[in-house]
Amino acid sequence: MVADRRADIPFEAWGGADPQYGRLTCGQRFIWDIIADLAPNDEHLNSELLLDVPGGTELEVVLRSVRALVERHASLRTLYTVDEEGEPVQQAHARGTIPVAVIDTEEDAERVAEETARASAGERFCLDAELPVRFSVVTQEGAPRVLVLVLSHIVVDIWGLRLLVEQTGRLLEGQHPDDVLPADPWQPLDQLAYEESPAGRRKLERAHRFLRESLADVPAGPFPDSARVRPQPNRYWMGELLSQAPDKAARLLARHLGVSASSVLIAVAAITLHRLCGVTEFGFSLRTLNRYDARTQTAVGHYSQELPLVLRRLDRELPDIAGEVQRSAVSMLRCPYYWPPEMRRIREEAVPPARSNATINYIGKPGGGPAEAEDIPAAELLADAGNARFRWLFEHSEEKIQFLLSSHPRSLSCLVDTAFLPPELAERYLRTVQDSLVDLALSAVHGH
Amino acid sequence: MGSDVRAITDEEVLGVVISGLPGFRNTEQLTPQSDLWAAGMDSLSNISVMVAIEGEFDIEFPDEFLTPEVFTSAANIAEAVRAILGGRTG
Repeated sequence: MVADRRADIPFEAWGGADPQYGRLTCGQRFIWDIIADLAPNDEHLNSELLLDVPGGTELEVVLRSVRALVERHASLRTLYTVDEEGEPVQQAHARGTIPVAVIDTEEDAERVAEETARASAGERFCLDAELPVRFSVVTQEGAPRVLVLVLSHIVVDIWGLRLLVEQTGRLLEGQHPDDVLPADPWQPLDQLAYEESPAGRRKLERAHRFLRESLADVPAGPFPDSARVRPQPNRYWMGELLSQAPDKAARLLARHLGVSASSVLIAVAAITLHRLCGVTEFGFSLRTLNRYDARTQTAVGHYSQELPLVLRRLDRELPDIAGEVQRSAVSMLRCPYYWPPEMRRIREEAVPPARSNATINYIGKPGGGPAEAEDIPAAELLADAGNARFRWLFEHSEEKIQFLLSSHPRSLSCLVDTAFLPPELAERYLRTVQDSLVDLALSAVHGH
Repeated sequence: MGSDVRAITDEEVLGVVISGLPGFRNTEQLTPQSDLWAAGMDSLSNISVMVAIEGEFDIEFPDEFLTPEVFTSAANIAEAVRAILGGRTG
């Protein structure tokens, strides 16, 4: 998609006139390492946001909104380089220009915006040379219709993405930046200062202590060697079950059992691996939001990291396993920041080395904890499950993990190593997780 | 930091609990005896409260304190904090 023109918007950082430098925070370093591992094929980690511009909004308002976001959130104006010792460092720029592509079309603005987002997200970011966010505005007869943001994963995790959606939406409605954006948002370099403070260092040491204890006990990959089959030519496949039923059922069960929805989802995922694939002990990394410190809850940035969990005796019932997940998660989430290079060292020193071959990523409904879970009728759950649609998203020849399960409010997706989970079994796995959750919810909550 | 165990009041702990729940509505109605779970605390915000308390009083909750009952109210949490600090000094 070729832009009709480009608007260069000057920005001046909120609250500071000089560029600021520092090493990466724990959360930034976590995603930096993943991006570096995948480079130069890391573009699929980019995030796309398409935001409808309310009718009657002037282009000037859209550009002012873009400027306000960049000025207030340092992560949107930060570049990343590598120092003489090979360590990645960040530089938050205080002044500069934001290039905004303006595309005028007579065609369907939504479709053009989707094509623009796809094309922009398909190009990897040069994190040392360009802002880690790209803006485009699709207009019709000069009137803005859709604002497109494409972001490097180092800028946002899912929490940061939701903050940007909410804040940008309100700015586009014409609300004043001071009414929308936090007056003093927690910035990556604030987080770094905390991590380097005595209190932050104590937490880091505690996290590393916890990791040493946990990783001494992690089994090798999730799948037994006896399960190995001939893999597909592109070995790693990503599939998605489009359905709201798994998330709704998990939230209903969570409220019933007095645990989190993620604990329910993880327990059912593990039980299903046992029943369908013969997995007897399930060692995995749990991706955690890391927004438990209230100061970080206004931050646009990447804080998410992964912590190890092991589940054994998978022939137990759901309440037993979900309760164990809950207790382990509460214990480990008090010290979720760790320095990724130290984590790698600890993994390598474990006997045998503790490889991370499986990951679970639970992304719940915003504000949708058990206490807020609404009553969901049995008929709605059954209808959602009945309407579930499966599709394959992509195939890769190289991946770092064998199994990644992601739960979203509208889907359940799985990246699998086809040497252990062939495509037809992977689809059956996702459908079985959904059906188990729904059956358990209907039985426990609705008495069916 | 370096808190005096005798000086820690239920009200002080309630203030820290509220600081750990920035998205909560009607926090002015909470008292030290209020049931935090009934007020809307979930497993996620429970951890935020735990992190806020540990940071403010420079403590680590031992695993046996990580129960829903301990976090039912600010008064219960204050009792736990006093017990942890008392154990540390005594």
